[in-house]
Amino acid sequence: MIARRLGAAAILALLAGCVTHETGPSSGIATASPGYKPNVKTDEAGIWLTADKAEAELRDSANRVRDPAINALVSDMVCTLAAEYCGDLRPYVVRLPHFNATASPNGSISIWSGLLIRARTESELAAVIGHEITHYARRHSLARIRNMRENTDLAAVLSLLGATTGVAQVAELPHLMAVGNIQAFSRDNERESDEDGFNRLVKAGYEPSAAADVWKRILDLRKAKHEFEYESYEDRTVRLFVASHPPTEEREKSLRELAEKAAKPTKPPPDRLREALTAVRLDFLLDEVKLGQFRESKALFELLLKDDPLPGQIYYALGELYRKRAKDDDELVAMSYFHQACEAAGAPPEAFRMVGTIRWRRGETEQAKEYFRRYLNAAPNAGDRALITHYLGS
Amino acid sequence: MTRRLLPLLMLIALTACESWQKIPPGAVKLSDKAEVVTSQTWSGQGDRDGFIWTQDGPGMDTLVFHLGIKDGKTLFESQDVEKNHNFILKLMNRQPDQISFRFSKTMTEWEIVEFFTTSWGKLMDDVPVKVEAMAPASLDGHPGIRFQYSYTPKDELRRRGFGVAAVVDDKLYLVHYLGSAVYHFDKNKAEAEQVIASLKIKKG
Repeated sequence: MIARRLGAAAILALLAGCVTHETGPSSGIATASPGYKPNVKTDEAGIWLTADKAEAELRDSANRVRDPAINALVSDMVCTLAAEYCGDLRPYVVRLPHFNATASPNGSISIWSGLLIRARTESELAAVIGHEITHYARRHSLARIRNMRENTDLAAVLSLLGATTGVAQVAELPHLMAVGNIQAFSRDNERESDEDGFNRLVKAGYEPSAAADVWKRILDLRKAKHEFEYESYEDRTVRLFVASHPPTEEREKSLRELAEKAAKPTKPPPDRLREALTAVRLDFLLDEVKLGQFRESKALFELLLKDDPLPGQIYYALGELYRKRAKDDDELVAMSYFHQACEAAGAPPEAFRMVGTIRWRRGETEQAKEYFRRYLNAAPNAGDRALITHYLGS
Repeated sequence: MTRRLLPLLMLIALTACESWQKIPPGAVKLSDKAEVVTSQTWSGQGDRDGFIWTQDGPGMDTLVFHLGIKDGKTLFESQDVEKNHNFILKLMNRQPDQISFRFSKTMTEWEIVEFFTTSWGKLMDDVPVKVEAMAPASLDGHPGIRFQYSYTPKDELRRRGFGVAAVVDDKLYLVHYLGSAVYHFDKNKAEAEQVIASLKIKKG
């Protein structure tokens, strides 16, 4: 069972480059030089081949976001954060509604839509991208796989010796230790990426506190999500042992300390994120709603509302969240948000349709029709035009 | 590989309790309240979530029957978070941060389609399902809605689909057909249309 888990962990590490990264004193592997390609006779070349295949799939994936504005921004940010690797790194924006980004050993970086709506500034996004660039630069994938190989080889030998005792638990122990060692190594790599990514952030002229801020936000959202959830002490202890990343609290604290020591930028950092997201953000917000995680999404949307230039989208997403939960007075709350969305900057046409739909259901036909008309005016080519026209003709 | 097989596994899991059976041409009684007529042979499975039929395999083309979803129920029983939640945690009033998307007998046609696409997208591992068209229609003479949709699951093979839904006796009857956009959707669509058009729902 343990061996199977190790095998699974090895495969995951190969395919999900985020957990990898390397260089640095702990790994003893040199930082990648600009334009670096591994020797074809090495184990690293095999890792790159796997990554190349994964990148080819990512490039053609239906989930890849092809919007020019957001792609132009992340490409520019990568080159700002790592000018020396500008020709080696290839960022991809992916429509996946969770907070994540990954770096592969061959230089492809995937940036998930869930991250893009959680980062409030370009500096915060830069902190995460800088972290991922370090995984690439320090060749953490290679280091992690070699570390895994060493640990599992050793565990196999020790396990064989342990088996001679005739006690099954003794034979299993080395495998357990290997898992702990491998994950501890991964956590060290993550710490290294946090620190090096922070240095890139500051050097590029971004806001130093942004790295800690983004983790603080993730922590706050996680707390909102788990507010009433049961989590046993055993669960937490086991997680600490097998976690591939350091605890979020630790990361935020370390990055905050670094920010306090760092020099402030001499000029206001660029902040083009919101503008670059204009065409795609509503889809990302609604993907978040469809996850159905009410508490976390509500906390996120309320946070975004504080200073959003297009609050209409956020009000609409909040309305959808309540409408989908559909408990007690949720529809009233949803209706209130939909009305606010209709009157706010960035109002999506769908907000008019929702007000119309709810009023239609309540039998408030004339008011419903008014909103349906507003919907069709705003979205004349909507796919549900036939249905809405049918309502208007009733 | 697991990721790629997931949508197929999900589809099979819909009806995992029953083995596949040959559905010969002719009248087929799906439940006490519903029957259809098919002119071709299908492979079919059924359980409490409904029935799934296929000509070329569930990953390629699928005809899905949801027959009589009651007010307050989810499209798939596995998506009822509260029902499936650990009973000890339930006693402690601790709920996971997860909404159960539920059918309501008062839903408008638009909301029914949205309920379907959200539930189906969730089943497909949080894939966005895009509604391409919606228009008034009827199911066995009951006023309802016809819709077209598409999505690309993790296997990267785009699917196209259409469905017809109506609320009869406060229960949702929704039948939809989907297939690979490159080939199978068009291949078996006409037969699926015919089966859906033949659906008879017994009231009361």
